Amino acid sequence: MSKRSRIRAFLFLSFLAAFPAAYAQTADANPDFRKILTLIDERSTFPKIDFSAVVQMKTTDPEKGDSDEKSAFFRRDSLDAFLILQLEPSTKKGQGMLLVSDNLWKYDPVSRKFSHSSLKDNYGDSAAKNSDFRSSSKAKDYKVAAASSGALGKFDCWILELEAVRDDVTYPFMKLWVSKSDNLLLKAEEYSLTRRLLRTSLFPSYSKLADKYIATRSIFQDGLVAGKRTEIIITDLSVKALPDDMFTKSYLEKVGK
Amino acid sequence: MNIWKTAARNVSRQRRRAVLLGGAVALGSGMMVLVDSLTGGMAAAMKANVTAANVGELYVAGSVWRENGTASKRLDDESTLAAVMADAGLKVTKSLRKTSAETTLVFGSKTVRLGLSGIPWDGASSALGEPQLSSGNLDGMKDASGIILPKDAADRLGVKAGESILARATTVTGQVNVLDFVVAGILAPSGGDMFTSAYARLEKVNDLVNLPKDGAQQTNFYLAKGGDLDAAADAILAGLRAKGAVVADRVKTSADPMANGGPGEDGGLPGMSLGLSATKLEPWSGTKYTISTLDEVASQFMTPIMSIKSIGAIVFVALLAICMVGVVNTFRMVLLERTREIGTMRAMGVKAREVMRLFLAEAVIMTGGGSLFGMAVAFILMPVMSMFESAGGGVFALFLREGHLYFQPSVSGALSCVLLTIVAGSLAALFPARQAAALQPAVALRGI
Amino acid sequence: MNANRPSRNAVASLLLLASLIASPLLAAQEANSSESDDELFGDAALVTVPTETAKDIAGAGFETSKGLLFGGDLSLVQSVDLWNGNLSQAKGMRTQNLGLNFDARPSDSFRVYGRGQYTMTSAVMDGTFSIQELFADVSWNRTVNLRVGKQAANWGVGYWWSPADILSLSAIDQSDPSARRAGPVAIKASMPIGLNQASIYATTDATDNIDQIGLAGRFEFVLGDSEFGLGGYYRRDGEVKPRLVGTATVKFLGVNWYGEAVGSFGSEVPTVGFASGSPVVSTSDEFFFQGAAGFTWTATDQEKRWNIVAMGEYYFNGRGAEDAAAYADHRAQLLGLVAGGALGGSDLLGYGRHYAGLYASAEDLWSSGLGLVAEWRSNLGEASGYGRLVAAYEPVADFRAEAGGEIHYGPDGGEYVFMNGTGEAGYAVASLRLWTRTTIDVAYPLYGEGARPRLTLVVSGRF
Repeated sequence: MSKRSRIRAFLFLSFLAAFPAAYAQTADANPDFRKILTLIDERSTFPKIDFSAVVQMKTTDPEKGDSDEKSAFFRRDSLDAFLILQLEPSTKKGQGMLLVSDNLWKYDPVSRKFSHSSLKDNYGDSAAKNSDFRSSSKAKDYKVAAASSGALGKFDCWILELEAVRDDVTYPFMKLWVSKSDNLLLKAEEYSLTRRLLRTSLFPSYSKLADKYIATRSIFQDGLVAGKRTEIIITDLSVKALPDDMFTKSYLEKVGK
Repeated sequence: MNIWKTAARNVSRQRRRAVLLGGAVALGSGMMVLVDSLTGGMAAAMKANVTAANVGELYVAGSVWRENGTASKRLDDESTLAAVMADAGLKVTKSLRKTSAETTLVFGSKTVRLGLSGIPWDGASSALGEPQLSSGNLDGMKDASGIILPKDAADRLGVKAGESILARATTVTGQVNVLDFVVAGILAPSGGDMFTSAYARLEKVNDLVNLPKDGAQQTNFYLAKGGDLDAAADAILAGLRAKGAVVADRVKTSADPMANGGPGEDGGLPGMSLGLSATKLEPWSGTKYTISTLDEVASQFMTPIMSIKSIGAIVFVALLAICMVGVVNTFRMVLLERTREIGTMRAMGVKAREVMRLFLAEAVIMTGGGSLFGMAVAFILMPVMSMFESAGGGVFALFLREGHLYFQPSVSGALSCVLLTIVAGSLAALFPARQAAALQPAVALRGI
Repeated sequence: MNANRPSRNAVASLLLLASLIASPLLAAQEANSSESDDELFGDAALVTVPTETAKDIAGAGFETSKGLLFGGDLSLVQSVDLWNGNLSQAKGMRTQNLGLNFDARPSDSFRVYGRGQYTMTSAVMDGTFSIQELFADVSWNRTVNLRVGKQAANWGVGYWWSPADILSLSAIDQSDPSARRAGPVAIKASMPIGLNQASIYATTDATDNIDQIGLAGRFEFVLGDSEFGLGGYYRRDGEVKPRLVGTATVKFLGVNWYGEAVGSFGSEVPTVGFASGSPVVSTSDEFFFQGAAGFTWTATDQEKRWNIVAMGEYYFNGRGAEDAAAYADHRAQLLGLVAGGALGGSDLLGYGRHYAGLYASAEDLWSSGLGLVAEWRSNLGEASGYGRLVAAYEPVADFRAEAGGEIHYGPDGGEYVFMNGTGEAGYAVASLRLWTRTTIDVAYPLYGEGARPRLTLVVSGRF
């Protein structure tokens, strides 16, 4: 994985970890949709604690080629630190990088050498955008313009059509499929100002961890670019405290082949 | 004794040594001239490209404060500006209103990120004049959805004139928007500079970024030839302030961006900047004007050029130091080899001063010759290197002229490079030369 | 050669591997390319409650292993040159390294690792076996980490020249700067202090005499987005002279710069003096300085059409020969000294005062695996050097072919002329080089839960 795509991946992950979480609640015959949005929001900011997962990212891109990569991610928010250890492809297994604010260390297990570089001025190199950092609030940013009942596979859903209440919300229109049983977000469609479908997101499985729901499988289909699709599978999720030495150079050296 | 003739003969006697030392000098000088001409050319090409891409040399942009604490780019009150421009008495040859958007163009499964400039079109004519098109024609711009693409972008998308593409952009308030465009024409690669911008009708781009159809984000001006951009910008600023308008302070940069080295920390290439502004904005009411000139816009692209230039300079200085060491070593060897010869010369009445001059002359011939040779090679390489068409557009296209590397050799730069090597070489040779001059004829003739 | 190559299309290499070992990997690649909503949401079990596995991820294959892991790696460089355009002078160079390693991590605070290497240069059977690494890691309370045994210890930040790399037993192989290099037998204690790190080494050649133990210490610290390192080395018997070491990596003008500075109180490496006309070998106790500075600049096209790397380094060696041409002029006598044992073969390299190297490459153009590489290195004092301009093709990671021209120039007997096996200056118009590195990993579960004798073969993708 190139430096750039890894940075993109971890930003994406941190964004993701925050996005499709929902709050379990018993189904209501006449639900307050605004309340559902609030509940989805409430869980949408990931707390400032340690977080780890194995993340597999499969990308199908007719233009740039396909890729399938699997990494172990460890995040410590309080340090602004990420440790990424590559699991697949096996050519790169054991390769790791440590990112702490602007500093990037890579460890080459063959020559047993660290290389340090600064990421300052490099963020522009990644595809991450400002909006990826900005937390969005569905309850505050949108009003429910229409709601209906429908099915998605085996699940009974509320289908909510949202309209942005302000003109600075990234996606002016959204359509959400929320499961009636758990109030989990299963599917989302995002639309442009001209009501063109920009992206379809699917969340067919969730994990419940410490009262939080985290989508463990997410599929993103580009609505504009034919055949462009990203699938993210998260396993081995944990919010347990990570050892302090994990975000150090000597840890990279320790786990390196 | 003709010192220069003798020196030249002496140099040619030790051909291998002369070639080695001269070669090192040639490498250093040649590289320096090449880098100097390249960075000069890059800066010139970049300025030309920025002028073309921005359609103008003096830009007055507007932004309006929004309740949520952000600003949106729009020029709401254009009458004040018009009045100020009339009062200032500037020789404006051309002006145009413009709205631009950073877009992702999509055709099938291909995408290209490209700036899109919305400018006024009267039927098929605009401020672009009659650009050379490789396909399609300007009549297509009569259509409200017409778009003109640079050749590079069209090739990457695989789109032909007449076909429809999607443009995705962010509105002035930050919403995602998508509109359909129909490719009217594709700019010929040699038709003007390889600017990386597409062109569409102002009202259509206003639609894309969600401005009123008759709105604009900025007005661009071309001044009459020789006009002082900086002074004009100052005059507009003073005029606007006199009318009570809010105007951002100008960030003054030198007219020659090479001189100030560019804004070190805020550099970056087009499409690569995050646009994160660290300074917190204070709210204002009405339109806030920002006045900038070509030089200011260009200066932010100077960082990569300065990087190349500084790396080149460091390498040159290192090579120069190394050559000096080489000169000292060479002449010490020469001194050992020619002790007897110098003794003979001195015995035949050649003065000590002349022996020293002879040594120095040899140093000048070797370093000067090497330097001139290196420069000659550099001047041969320049047209050769600029023959190759650059791979694709993207970031580098900004520094290319019509897709080719462009060299702008500076006579003073080249001359100072030669002088510097000669001075350095002579300085290095001075010590052994003095030693040679100090040899006593009798002692020298006794042999070693 | 391989340090800054672009990342390769992972799927391509996986596919190639899959077809080679005829595994079901290919089928796995094809799965779930498009599923309908009904299929995706066809399973009633939407939410699973996982057992927390943070410890396991931290351990899985990283901190602990369920068994003894064996690995093998083979690297091969084969080159053919039409030397000086003359077929009769064609020189072939071949190096092969066959490495075997084992790795056992029974707990997260204990690890044993070893790697031996069989190196063949010309004939297959004409090789030498050496232990490259053999160490045990013990960590105390996840705070202090001990590494005991023969271990690689790379202190430097330089690419071709790294005077600060004082513990490695050999200098960087300039034709493959990222290759493995053996380090000393040592006890290393390191302790991270936030992002900074302090390490102490006790190194030795033999253990029967305390005077033969060298002590080294190093502190690496971060300031903003720059990293600095300060270190020193002392050995009581003075066989290896004391030295002070500083390193830095700094970002400036959008370029990553690095620098090394070393002050040594004498040199144990023999230098040769030629004042009397014939070479005299001596070591010195005088203080001298060595320094290296360089830059690395990379740029990647957003649309993956190119990947450019530019590097440069200058190296000043205060110990180097004052008379730059003397070594070249006396090459035959020097070789005699090597034959007689007064000098080591490696003493005939790096004897100059000033060195410089430049490297530029554009790799993986249009994701084709094709690239261009230009490289130049020189002993500037004697004006000998090496340059190459080659086209490279690397269809999958670590399988690389290069073809192009190369030149060794300089005075007869000069360093870079001598380096080129034939001992004479010249050029190769058609130089072809094949380069691969393959690794094979085998896991044999000896201990741990449910350990049963089971052999798992993983051919990892470095082919």
